[in-house]
Amino acid sequence: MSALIECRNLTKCYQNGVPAVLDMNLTIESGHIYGLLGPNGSGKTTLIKMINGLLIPTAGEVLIEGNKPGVESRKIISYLPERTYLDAQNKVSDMIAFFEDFYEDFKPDRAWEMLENLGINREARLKTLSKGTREKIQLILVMSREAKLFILDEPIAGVDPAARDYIIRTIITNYNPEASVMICTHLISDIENILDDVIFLKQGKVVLKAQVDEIREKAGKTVDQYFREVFAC
Amino acid sequence: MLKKLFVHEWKDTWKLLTILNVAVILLSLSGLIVFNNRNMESVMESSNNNSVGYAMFYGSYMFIYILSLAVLTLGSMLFFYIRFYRNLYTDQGYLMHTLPVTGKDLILSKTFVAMIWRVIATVVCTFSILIVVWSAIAEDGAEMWREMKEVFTQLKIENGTAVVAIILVILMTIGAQLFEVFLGYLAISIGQQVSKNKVLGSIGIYIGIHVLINIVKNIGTQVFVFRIIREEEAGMFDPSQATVILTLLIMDVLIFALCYGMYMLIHHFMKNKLNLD
Amino acid sequence: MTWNLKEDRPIYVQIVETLRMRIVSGVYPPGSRIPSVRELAAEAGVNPNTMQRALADLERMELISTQRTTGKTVTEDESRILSLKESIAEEETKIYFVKMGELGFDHRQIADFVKKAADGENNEIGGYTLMGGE
Repeated sequence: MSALIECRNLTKCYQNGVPAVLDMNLTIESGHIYGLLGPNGSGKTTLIKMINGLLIPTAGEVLIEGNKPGVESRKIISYLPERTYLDAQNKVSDMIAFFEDFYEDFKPDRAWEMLENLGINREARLKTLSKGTREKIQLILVMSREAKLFILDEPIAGVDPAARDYIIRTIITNYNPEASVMICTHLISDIENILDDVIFLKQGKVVLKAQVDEIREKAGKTVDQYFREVFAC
Repeated sequence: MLKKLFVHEWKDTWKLLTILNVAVILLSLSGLIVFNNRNMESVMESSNNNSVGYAMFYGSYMFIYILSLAVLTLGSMLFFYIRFYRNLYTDQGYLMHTLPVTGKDLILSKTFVAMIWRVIATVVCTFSILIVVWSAIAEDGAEMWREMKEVFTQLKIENGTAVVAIILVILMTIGAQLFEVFLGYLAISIGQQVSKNKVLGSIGIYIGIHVLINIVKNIGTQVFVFRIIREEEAGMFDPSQATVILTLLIMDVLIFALCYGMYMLIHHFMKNKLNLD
Repeated sequence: MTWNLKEDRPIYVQIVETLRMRIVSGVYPPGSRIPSVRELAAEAGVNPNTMQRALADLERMELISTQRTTGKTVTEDESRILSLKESIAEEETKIYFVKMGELGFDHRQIADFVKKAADGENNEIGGYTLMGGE
């Protein structure tokens, strides 16, 4: 297990001067499934954007395998944003071809299998599909890569419970000790069983980083219950 | 990676652009028929009470034709601006900016494709106008081709300087096209900084830079003309081929330098100031 | 024994308990192969690391062993399995006795309850057929 991501004194202030992420020091190791949890505005999305190179830090740095975010880091990070980023004009098969073209670690067979399991027609145009189906397709595309780091922002929020189970099983079966997964979500109780560690963010700072079973043992609660305690309004 | 982006960009854009260009080509070819049909002309001359109808027919043809030219030129321009914006600055940006490609690759691939289609549109429009105008003026098809051939042979026997001048002028036109493309892209990437309404911001900046360029152009032209007048009065005006070539060369260098500067600015804003929603 | 995991206790402890039951009750017979870490994790809906931790515990208890070629197998030592079965039974009985004691019954009354359940007409309690009743 090595350090996949290292944040050193990472800070990001937006134009209004309010810091979204403040002096953050965090290490993400390979071989773990992390839950990145925190209320809205705690800096989760900002942190994720900086890891992906979508935002430039105001101060400090974030290193992915020792490198600044760039072409090399994007080759090993598979990111699922909250947004639907697919061009609705395309067909499902077009998107598979696209990912295959740009990502060396993309496994099209895995994608076809998952699409079939979820009953998605590969020749359908995306604009004819429901929002939930489009989200599933995006998730399939992201999970069909053999990346070193998967960052999933709300992967199950817009999805029906049966598909949720399927998705969670997919994350488990795709698990690779050389890789890590970071799941950012509000639906803690649905996924806490598959987490190794949780990171609690509050107002741009890390307030807790611990193993889930540790929390259960010490607090005698589920992670979901513990979260509600820590972040009670 | 640049090649892959280029191919992808091409795939997403060729259908609409081909339709627009083919529409113009078809309309101009039908102009050949409309204007050069001896039978139609004789019919027109014989039945005067139908002249209003025929006037309307020619009128509507010209209207549709000119409209198609406008749609092709303006449409191509707007299409690529909108595509740049949608692909890189809306939700699709989450996909494009996390691909293992550099920002420069993203900009260049889009610029190449846009430029190719602009050049195609310019060539199509130019020849289309030539064909339509010639067929309207010439008395019959044969004469039209004769006249066109004469012009081309005349061009060929000009001396080498003229050829150089023509090449420089073509380069300048391409430079101007590139400038337009970058202007739009720059306006869009700077407009993202405006927090309230990004689209309005982009449009505002676009108009702003256009106005600025026009002012500079006007001042430059006036200075240039002023100098020529002075030189003429002093009897020193010598519009030698060398001066013309030199002027053209300077303008070419200026335009491409400006384009490069804009390109670097676009890249800077996209890389350092990107903030997708 | 299906997975019935409660998230307010360490998951890996509960996994150990469930796998133990599967071994002593014969779902995984002695000497048989058990599914891979990943399969078990997917079945239970848990993190493979957690499953691995539980399996490591079982290995320490010498209930399973890992062979390089055949994967993880249940021990063939039937006496070990039997003694584990008995200690689980004792544990459960103790829990039962404590509960009945809280209700205020003495040992004789508790024995009566047990006899009545064992002699029950359909050998069924709460819808579950007791083992050994067929």
